[in-house]
Amino acid sequence: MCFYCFCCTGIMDESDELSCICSEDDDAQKMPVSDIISSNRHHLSSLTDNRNYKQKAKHSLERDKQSVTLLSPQDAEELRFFKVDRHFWSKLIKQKFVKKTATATEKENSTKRVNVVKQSQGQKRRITTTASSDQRIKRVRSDADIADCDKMYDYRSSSIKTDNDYINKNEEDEENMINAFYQQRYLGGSNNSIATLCNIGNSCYLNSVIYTLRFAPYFLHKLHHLCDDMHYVYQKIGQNKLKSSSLGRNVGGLQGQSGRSWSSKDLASLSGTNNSVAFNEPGLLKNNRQVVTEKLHELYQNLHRNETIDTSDSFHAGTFLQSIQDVSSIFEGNQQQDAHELLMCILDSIRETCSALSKTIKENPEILLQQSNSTSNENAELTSPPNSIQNSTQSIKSIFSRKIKRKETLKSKNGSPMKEINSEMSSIEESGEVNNVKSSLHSITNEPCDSNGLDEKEKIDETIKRLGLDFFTEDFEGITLSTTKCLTCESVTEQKETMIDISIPLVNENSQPLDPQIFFQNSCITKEYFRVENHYRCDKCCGYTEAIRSISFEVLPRLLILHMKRFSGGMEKISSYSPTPFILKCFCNKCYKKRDEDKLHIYKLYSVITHVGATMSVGHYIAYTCSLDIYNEYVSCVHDKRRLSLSNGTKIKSHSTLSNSGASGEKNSGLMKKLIYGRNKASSSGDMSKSIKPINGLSKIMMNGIEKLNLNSDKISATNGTTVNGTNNANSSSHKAPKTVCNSANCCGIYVKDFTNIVENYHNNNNINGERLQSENGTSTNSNDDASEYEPKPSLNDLNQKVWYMCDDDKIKIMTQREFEDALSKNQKVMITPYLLFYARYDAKTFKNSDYE
Amino acid sequence: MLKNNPNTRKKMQVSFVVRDAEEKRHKRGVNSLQLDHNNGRLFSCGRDAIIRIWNTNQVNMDNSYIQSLEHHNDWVNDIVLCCGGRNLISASCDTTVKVWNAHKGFCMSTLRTHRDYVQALAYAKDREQVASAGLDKQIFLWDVNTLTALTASNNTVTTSSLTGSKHSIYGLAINNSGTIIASGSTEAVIRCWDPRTCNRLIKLKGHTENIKSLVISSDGSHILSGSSDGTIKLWSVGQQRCIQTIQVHTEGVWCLLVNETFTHVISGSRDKKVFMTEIRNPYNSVLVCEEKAPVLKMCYNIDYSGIWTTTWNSDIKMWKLPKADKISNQKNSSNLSLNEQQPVVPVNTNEEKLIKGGAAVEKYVVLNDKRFMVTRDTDQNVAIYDVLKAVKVESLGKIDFDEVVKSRNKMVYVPNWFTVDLKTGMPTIVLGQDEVDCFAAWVSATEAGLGVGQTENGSDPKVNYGSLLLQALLEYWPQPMVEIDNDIRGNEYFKVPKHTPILFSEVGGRTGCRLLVRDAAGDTESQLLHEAVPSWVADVVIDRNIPRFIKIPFFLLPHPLMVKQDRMKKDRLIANEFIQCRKVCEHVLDKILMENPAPTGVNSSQNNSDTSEGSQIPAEDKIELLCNEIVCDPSMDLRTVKHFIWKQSSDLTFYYKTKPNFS
Repeated sequence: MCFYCFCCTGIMDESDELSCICSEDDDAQKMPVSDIISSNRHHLSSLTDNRNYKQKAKHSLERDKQSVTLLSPQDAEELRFFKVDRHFWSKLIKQKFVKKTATATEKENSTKRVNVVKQSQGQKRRITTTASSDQRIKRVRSDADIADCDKMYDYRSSSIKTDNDYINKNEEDEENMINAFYQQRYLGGSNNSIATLCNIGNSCYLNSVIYTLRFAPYFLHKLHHLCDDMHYVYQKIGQNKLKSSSLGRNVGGLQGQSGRSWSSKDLASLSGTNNSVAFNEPGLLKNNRQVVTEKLHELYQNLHRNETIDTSDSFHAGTFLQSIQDVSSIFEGNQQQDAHELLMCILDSIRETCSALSKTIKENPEILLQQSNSTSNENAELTSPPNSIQNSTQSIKSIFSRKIKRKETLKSKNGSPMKEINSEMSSIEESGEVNNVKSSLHSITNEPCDSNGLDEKEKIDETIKRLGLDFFTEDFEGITLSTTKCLTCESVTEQKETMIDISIPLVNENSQPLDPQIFFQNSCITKEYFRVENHYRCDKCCGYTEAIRSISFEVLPRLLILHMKRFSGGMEKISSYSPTPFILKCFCNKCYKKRDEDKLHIYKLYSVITHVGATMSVGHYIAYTCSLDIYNEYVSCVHDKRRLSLSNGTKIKSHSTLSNSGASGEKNSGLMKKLIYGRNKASSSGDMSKSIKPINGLSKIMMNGIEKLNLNSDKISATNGTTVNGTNNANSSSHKAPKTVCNSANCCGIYVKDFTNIVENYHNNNNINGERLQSENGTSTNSNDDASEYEPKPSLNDLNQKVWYMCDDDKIKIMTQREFEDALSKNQKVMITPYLLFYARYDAKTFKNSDYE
Repeated sequence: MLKNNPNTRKKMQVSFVVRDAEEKRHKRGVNSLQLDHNNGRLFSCGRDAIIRIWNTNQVNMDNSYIQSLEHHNDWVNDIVLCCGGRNLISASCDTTVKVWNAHKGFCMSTLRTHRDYVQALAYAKDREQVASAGLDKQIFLWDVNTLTALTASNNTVTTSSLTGSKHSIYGLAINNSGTIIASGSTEAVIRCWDPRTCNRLIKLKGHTENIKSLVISSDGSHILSGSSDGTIKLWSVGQQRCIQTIQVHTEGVWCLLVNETFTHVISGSRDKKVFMTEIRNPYNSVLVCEEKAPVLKMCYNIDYSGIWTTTWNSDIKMWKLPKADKISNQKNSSNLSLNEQQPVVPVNTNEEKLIKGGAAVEKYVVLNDKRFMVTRDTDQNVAIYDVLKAVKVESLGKIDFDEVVKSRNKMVYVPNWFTVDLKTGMPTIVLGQDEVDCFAAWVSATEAGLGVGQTENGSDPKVNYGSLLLQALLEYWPQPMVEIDNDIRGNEYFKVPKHTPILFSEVGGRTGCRLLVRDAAGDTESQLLHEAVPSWVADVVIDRNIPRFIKIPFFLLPHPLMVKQDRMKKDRLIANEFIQCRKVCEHVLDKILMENPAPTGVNSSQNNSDTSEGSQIPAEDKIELLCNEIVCDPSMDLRTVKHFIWKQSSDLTFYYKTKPNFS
């Protein structure tokens, strides 16, 4: 069940729903009624994008409208009580409101419905406003505070009022403010910032893991390159076999940029074609594990798309689940599953994929040679047909000449999507080009040196390492050192094993509270005695003796997974409290003995998967995630610099470099200053872009907005978000040393654009043009401030902290760090029981600097 | 702790040691030493489960051996000499504490109170009290006079136990006057009790690892402790704190020796070094000697001018001690050496006296015939043992072990029926833990080289190794129920050495009964045996029942190349696993192929019975058996085929084929 279907359930009777859905979606027949209701809701907004379905959209609009009005003051009172258990929420809502609203809405909303119908040309805008009201409803539900509720009620009534007025006149500033504010506070409306996943039958375990991995620092990025490389390698091998050269292959990442609407249906078909692409590659069939990796990547691509096109659709992860089921039969059927097991299954698949790819490359070293050659060629011969790849050596001179040619073509190419590029920009483009040429020259001159200097095999190994194909080992694998000491002869035997997660045993009764750091350290670094009936066979003593085995960690994985053993043995769950520190002191062997301030690493919490419910078989998983570092992870991608894998990629890269310099050009620098200033001021209203370099991230968001505004094109082009400037020097010399951003950010990265939305909203609603932007921006930031004043809490300090996303299937709610801390605390009535904790390692020194800005 | 619950009575196992009648040398490390200062007799106990007595007054130490005290069957961890040298008390990994008559050298009584390895003993001279402690975390206090007064009829003894230790105890000490007792354990805490009241006194925290060695000053005011963390600490009992830490060793300190006046400590460590250090001024420290292996125990020689040391090796050495005042004179030089990490030169480079130890068997491989075993000892000598006869049959000297194993292994498969344990440095053969395992090995007597002269009618009797060995081991056990006229003793093939110790013990647990083969006739031993011998042993030894044959199922199919595909039915046959392939050939010839040619059927079957007598062409010349497309040697038995050729757990399948010269 999703939150958003609340409105639907309130209004429609279910038989009506069924007929409505069946006509357009065959899949619906297979779904349980509750799913149908939600999917109907999902169709609603996707349809609105599609003018072909005008009539139906109108129909659904009416429903939405009703849902807004349904919230009469009495209802709000009712809603206040729905705060106890979010898991049972939707059920309750359903029961209560199906009856209530059926009668109430008939009377109250007949007039409004008429209004809406009249207003058919304003569809898009209506959607946004209704959705925001929608969010407000959610707000009421989730927030326990009565005062808050009253506040909400005020908001709502005012907004409803404005809704009504809105038909006749322009939107008021107040409404706008509220909109902006709630778009930041609550994701999930039509301006959803984070794409959601729908529950496809007890799939909360799947969703929580997908959400978590999505927010795992650098995971998406590396996954992308893994899939990309795999694609490339397999394609190359296929080509070698067929001796055919069809290089102009579409990269998956680009498909998302067409601006198409992606309904669930579309995506299914798309993944179908992708699938066929993968399997059509001649000669090599991918194994199940590799398919899982690929599907996971596709899934993230789709989520990214959903975010870029502003859909509120929850994505249906069926194809991914299917691939998982192909690997492990235990996930078959719609049963509840252990999220930990699934996670291990996915990680296993990625590991196998990594190793298989490395193996393939080792077996086919010619790929690498071709690759390095072809990349340089591709670099040079963007416009020429790729047949000439076989001609491996090109003189620098010729490349140079081609470069110039390329520059020209680029210019002309870019002319079409970027209409308003002025001369100033093109000059910057020139400089960017020169940089590009230089760098490619550099890479070309480097390559032969490498190949001459190194032995062939070493070179391959080195390249594999450089390409990060073993990223799984670095990110997810640690080394456990188990030391066994015979107590008689005191000789020590050491054994090293790779580990992925650490299981933390829990005791049922609440013993005296330990310091969380010590709790985890003691749970992980353990000592075990072999004695009494369980003597140890010592080879030195030639017999059974007592021994101590101590477990320590020589290396801990960058992404550390702690598994709370809540289901030991039987089905009974240990639901006792366990601490969830946001910062975990590193306890690897290098850090263990050191004092806190000397420790080399620090672990930051980025996700928690909690289990709600009494037993293993009955329960629900919710993931709480937070983005620690989204904006930095695509910057200066070694991968992209060193290996320009595909012609498409190259295109994008140059493209982005160009637009980057354009966006950050002097012309806009003043505006940016303003924006930064405003932003900093307005940061109290839910800063989503908290990262190590907040300003850096911010600038990216702004650029998204600026570009959109400047270009005024609905096409969200590849330029969006691809480049982050060193905003530290944004005011002085931003274009001097442009940092490149890996284009994979545009393929499957998280596309958070809350701020953009606010700006865009203004832009849309008030029909302002590019010239007026500056002043409008001023108001927008001001109004943000106002909005925060409306809201008495959370306080400024809270909002300055990290933001957490509570990902409960298709519902994503934002929490401040403090709210999340409160939720995790021991004193809660309904205690959250964390099941899996996810930490990411950071260099302790960097962390200290960045943590407090 | 439920070991004695009658409902869950443990299975009993039988084992024996293959050894010489007299083992004059320690086989493995020597765990403890005691010197009788009245007469210079040195008692040493070792990992070979034997306590030996040496005369240290001998000029030639090669003749110093006096006697062995044998009754333990696992490592003897500690001994104390009490009652002015009349009695010896020993603690062992076999979980028992034994009281010995030290002069005559026999075991007076056995205390079975401990539930796990007994690790340490402590003796309060003034009160004639002995404390024992071990891995079961228990400390028991014994009154020596009561112990020595125990007889077969008066065999109850009361003991007071000191409880409170949460970890296995490795070190124990009591002062002479018996006013304080201290224990060291893996808890790294020293716990003290008052032995008179059994009340806990104090806990001393400070070490970070196991504490293996403790000494208490006579007045009970100070405790000296040596720990696996490499330090020696002096504790004040009154202040309940550590007042001195001595750090001269780089590895765990395993044994301590303190002079009469409690001014100097001699410490032996895992780092193989022995230091003598002034307790109050640790800079005054000299390296007494450097051993070749971790030092396990030390004791003063008869005139306190030197120390006897033992190590992991089986040698016992005496080293001269520097004079105590000489150590303080060396203050500056030792200070320097400690600070500048210069290699410390030991006072002694060579030992004064040496009691040579022997070599322990450290490696073995049981050959495929499951009868002979190749071993290698710590001196790299390779030897061959005949497990069945419980003797060493061949000494091969220092040659390549693996080479010997390779050359002696035959392509034959016999099931396992025993395991080997080398913990004591002498091969201990543990017979299979119940009848199935022990009686698994059926072999042809002639093949085993046992049936010489026995095959009067050309038949080849099958013998069971386990059964034969048990009969031989209990050869002297009087069998009261059996009448004298059919009193068959032992087995008809061989005898085992009479000195061979036999052990009956719980599986993986404590020993019930230990006796020598020749002693089984004695009254007490015979009585003990009747209690200890499990029924499955009595079955073969007394009732002389023949153990079950082990059957093996197999399929017999015509080979695809056979001209006559007469029988397509898949026959599942069952035969004793030691049946040779030629028997299968005969079966094929008799029962399968001769069915069809009806007219000659009678004759040929008669012919064939003739051939099996060996007069005409044997069946194996006419029939070829194939398994996994490999032709099986007719003398190979079924289990060998299954193990070496079939190599699957599923049922063995043979294909038969007539040989070309026989149609």
